[in-house]
Amino acid sequence: MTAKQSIIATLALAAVAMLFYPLIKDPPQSGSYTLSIAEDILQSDDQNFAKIMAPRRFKFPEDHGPHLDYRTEWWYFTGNIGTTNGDRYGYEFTVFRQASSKDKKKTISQWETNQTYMAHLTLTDATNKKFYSDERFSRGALGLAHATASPFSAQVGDWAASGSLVSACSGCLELSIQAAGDDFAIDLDLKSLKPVVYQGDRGFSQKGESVGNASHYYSLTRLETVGEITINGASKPVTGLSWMDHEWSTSALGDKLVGWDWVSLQFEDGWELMYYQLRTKEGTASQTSEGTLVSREGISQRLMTEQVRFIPTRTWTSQMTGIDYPVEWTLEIPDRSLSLKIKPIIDNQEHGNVFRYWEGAVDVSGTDGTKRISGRGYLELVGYE
Amino acid sequence: MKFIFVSWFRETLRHPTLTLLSILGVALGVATVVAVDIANESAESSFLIANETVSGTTTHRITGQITDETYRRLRVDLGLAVTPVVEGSIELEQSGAQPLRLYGVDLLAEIDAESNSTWRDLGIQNAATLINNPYTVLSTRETADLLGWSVGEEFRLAAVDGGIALKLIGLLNPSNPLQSQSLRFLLLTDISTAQSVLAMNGYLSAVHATLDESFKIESLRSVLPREARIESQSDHRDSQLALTEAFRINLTALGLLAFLVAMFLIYSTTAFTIMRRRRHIGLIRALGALQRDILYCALIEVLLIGAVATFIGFLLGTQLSRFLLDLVEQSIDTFYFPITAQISVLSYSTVAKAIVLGIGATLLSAIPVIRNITSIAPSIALNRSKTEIQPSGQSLRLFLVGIGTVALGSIVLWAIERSIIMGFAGIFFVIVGYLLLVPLMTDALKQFLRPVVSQKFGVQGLMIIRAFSSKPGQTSTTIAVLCLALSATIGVDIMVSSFRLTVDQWLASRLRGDIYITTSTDSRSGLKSQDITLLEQLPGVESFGVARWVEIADASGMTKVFAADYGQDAFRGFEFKDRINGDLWSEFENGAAIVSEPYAYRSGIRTGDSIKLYFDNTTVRFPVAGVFFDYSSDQGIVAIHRDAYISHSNDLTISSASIYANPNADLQRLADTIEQRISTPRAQIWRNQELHNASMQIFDQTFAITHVLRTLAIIVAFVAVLSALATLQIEREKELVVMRTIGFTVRRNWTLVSAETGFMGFLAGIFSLPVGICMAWLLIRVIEQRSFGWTMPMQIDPLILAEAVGLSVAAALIAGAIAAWRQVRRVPALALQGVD
Repeated sequence: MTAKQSIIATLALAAVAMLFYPLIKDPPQSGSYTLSIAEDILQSDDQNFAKIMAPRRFKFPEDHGPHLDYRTEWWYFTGNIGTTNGDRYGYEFTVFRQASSKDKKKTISQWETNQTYMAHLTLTDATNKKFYSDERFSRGALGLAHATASPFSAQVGDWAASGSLVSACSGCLELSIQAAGDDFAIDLDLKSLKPVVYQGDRGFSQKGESVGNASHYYSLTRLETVGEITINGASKPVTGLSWMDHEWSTSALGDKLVGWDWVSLQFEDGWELMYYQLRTKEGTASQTSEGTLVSREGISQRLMTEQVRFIPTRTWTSQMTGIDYPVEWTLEIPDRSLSLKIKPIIDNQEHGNVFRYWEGAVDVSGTDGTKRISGRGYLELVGYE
Repeated sequence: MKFIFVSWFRETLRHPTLTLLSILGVALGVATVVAVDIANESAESSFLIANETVSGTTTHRITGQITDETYRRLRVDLGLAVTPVVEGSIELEQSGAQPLRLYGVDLLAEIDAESNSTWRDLGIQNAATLINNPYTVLSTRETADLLGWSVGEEFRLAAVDGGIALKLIGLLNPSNPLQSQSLRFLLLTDISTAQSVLAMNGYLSAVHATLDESFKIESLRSVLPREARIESQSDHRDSQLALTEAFRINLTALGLLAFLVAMFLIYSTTAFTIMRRRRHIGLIRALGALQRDILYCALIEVLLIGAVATFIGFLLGTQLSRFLLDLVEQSIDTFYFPITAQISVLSYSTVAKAIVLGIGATLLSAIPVIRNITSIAPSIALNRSKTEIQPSGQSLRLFLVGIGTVALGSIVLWAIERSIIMGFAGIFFVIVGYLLLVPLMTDALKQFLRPVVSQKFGVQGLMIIRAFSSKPGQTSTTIAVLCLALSATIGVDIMVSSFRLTVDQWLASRLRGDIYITTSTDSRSGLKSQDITLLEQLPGVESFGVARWVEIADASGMTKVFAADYGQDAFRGFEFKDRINGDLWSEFENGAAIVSEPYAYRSGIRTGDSIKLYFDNTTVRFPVAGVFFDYSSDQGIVAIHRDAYISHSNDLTISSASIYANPNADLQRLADTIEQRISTPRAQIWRNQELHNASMQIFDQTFAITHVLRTLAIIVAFVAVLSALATLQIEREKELVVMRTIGFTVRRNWTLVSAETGFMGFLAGIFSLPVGICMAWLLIRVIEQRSFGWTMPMQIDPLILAEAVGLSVAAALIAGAIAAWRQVRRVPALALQGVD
């Protein structure tokens, strides 16, 4: 069972839960309530959706697009970027798709749909210790929100990631992301530097013991990033590296799980590492957690729970919600003599809109055997109360 | 000092009838004003709350031919925080049921735009179901209860609304009673359901937008069609309210009319009650009471009457307002916008108006009388024969002031154009001025009648005439009060009946087809093409014309445009203000526009001018070939030929069709056949007469409130006349007793009194005719035009005039009978001694 699959499920719940926005205006006590309602809905009628039973043969550009037979899907971009004079930023842009099962069209209206979309946008300004976040909601009708494979596009309202396949490597994309929140905006061009990495078992990511409780999950782990960010009307050119995940499924988080901690790391020596850990109600790590190590050449290696020690070392308390988030971690892979320290570039990177979670840019440093290594990445902490 | 007060108010209590009548008259006047005020304010506040409930914190509102695609461009291409609305009225299957407002929104867009609309605050628990399951709705518990539904139940819409079943899947939870009220009979649904049910596929009723202050509205123009209108929410509220302003001013004026009558009543009753106690005043003055004491006593009495009457009037008014509000709501709903009104919290201004009018005006109208009485020396007051004010000089003076006032009113009417309030002010001056002419006219008539009467009826006849001379001030005031009330009745009646007759004739002339098909006003898609084919093929249909109703932007905003392809015969249904119909057809066919009278009035357009209409890609200038009479819209209509419309807009939609049947066709069967076979959703089939009747019914509903207010004015007048005449006769009791002692029978006295009062009533009736007709003329020419832009011929129904005179005589006779009844019961000898 991979952690990211559970992430899919829970964020999928979040996507449904957006429909319950009025119920979750008071964040402290309502989060789990919202999720439980959303779960009810998810579990009530998923017989109409396809289930993921086995690895698939991925095909691009088709698989960059939406998979409408499945309930939930997302396109996930995170990146560490900066200016030439050393100003440091992180960004996250995510498009979620959520479907409700439905019979064939009943009205003559073009507004009728069973697809709803949500998008999240954040920008971390490390220099000024500011975190910006915003979100969008839309139904998947009339071109208000949609996803397409060729040309690639994942769009909610006027926020969009769009581009096309390039032949340089397998599944590689060249794309641009444009999105503007209340007082900040990003306009970035991304270009794959490595081929697609299939997570789990050839992109088949088992989520729980029951059959069909799984997702399809692949990543573009290193995307060259060039563009511009705008904060309060002032624009700056930036460069850096991004990471893209694309995942879809129909199933939900297992009963015993409450959240997860996920990290993606890009090292200066050209390697990448992804690891997630699902948390049980008791606060322990589930055995279904897992990860992937990607070499400079793009060759990936699966990491199983028992190989990895992923341990929080410091928590930060949100003033907005009062939630304690473990924002500093150590990650060790004894087999490889890999020992890493993960620290956020600023503590407050809590996404504070309809859905609350912590997702932010991090620095990583440590040793690989005897070699000192360092890099940057993104950490995601979900399900804390 | 104390004894003076005691003595004064004991005297008051000795004659409670008059005091009670005064109180009743003032109370009725106050009640009318309060009721109209509350009804108007409640309608306004209900509208404002309803508006706020649906628009939330959004700043702008975009309307007019907004398509789905336009919305997409606003949201996606321009990235604006916008929310779509599709709304319209639906009816349930059970006929005669309350029409419901179907309000379609995109809840995700509401959340996305953070518009803070009520939908978010209402705690939408079934949002997902609403979006994902078509034909589901939410309502407040109150609405569900009123309709007898429970959650989970389905209910079917009327056939005209497609006979679709909607399912109530949950309840809205309004946060306060006012919000609950604005959501009454509203069904919240997903926008897809609303488009489908309301046959508005592809179109939106409105888009709400939240725009920064710095946002340049003009930048939206690239995305919006030309006919789209962008208004700030506050402008929208103001313009909607402005639509009803004329209507509300008219109501207020009618309410004030009732009050004006009440003021005369106060004047006359105060005059009588105080005059009556001249003797008493003389007595207490002789006993040492100062002029000042008398003034205080009189003022306190008047103030008390005013205060008690205001209080009662206020209570009456709040009750009456519920009834009036229903009527106001009905009219606004029919003509302006959907509204569910409920009595709102009493405003300070209403309370202030009641107090100012009830107490202030009472005092004001009593002051001349009080001044008069306090200035009289005790010896004169005691001497009854010298108490009357010398009449003839006063009559002449009043006459001159009256002429001046009429002239002032005429100048106001002539000089200040367009203002409705100044129109009423002018009419007020003209009427009050005329009333001031009444005393001299009465004198003159008396002089003229004296020889005739003496010749015909001898001494008794002369006695009637002389009865007037003995108290000229009082009699002419009484006649003036009656005259005022009657003229108001006559004026309003002639205005309404002229209007009704005009509309009736206009409908008969305009509706030339045998059967009409109309599509819902909410519908943008119009008649389906297969229905047009059906009409072409249906035996019994000789020919038919089609038309498109659409709103297009012109220089001043949005205008209703009627693009007709009705053929020359139907065109004959248009009657023009300044041109003969026959000449216009070819101009119209060749692309000229004709405009309705209100349009011409509002925009200052005349035949020969031209108007600009903004179509999607082009601005078109149309020459105006004529101004036609039209009473369907007070905002005005522009009519152009449908060919011209299509060539500029490429819009082939058909909103309505008028069908000419074969001369020998069975109309009912033809109508039934069309009804059965028509496939356009929400299309309605009308036979000519049905449409005509339905229109007249709307007309009558609209004027129901006018009738109510007029009736109130008459009731106040009736009370006024009753009290005035009764006082006059009670004053004469002694004379009547003398008559009896010299041999007049009770019956004879009866006849005498009845003849006197009847004659006064008759005079008032006759005097009221010219001013009543004048008022009708002013209402039609000034108020109707300024309020609604309509003109019409005045059509005087003699019956209305006869009724007015009859009413006047009847009121006078009843008053006389009450007075006579009193003296019948009295023993002459005791009465002569002054024993009651």
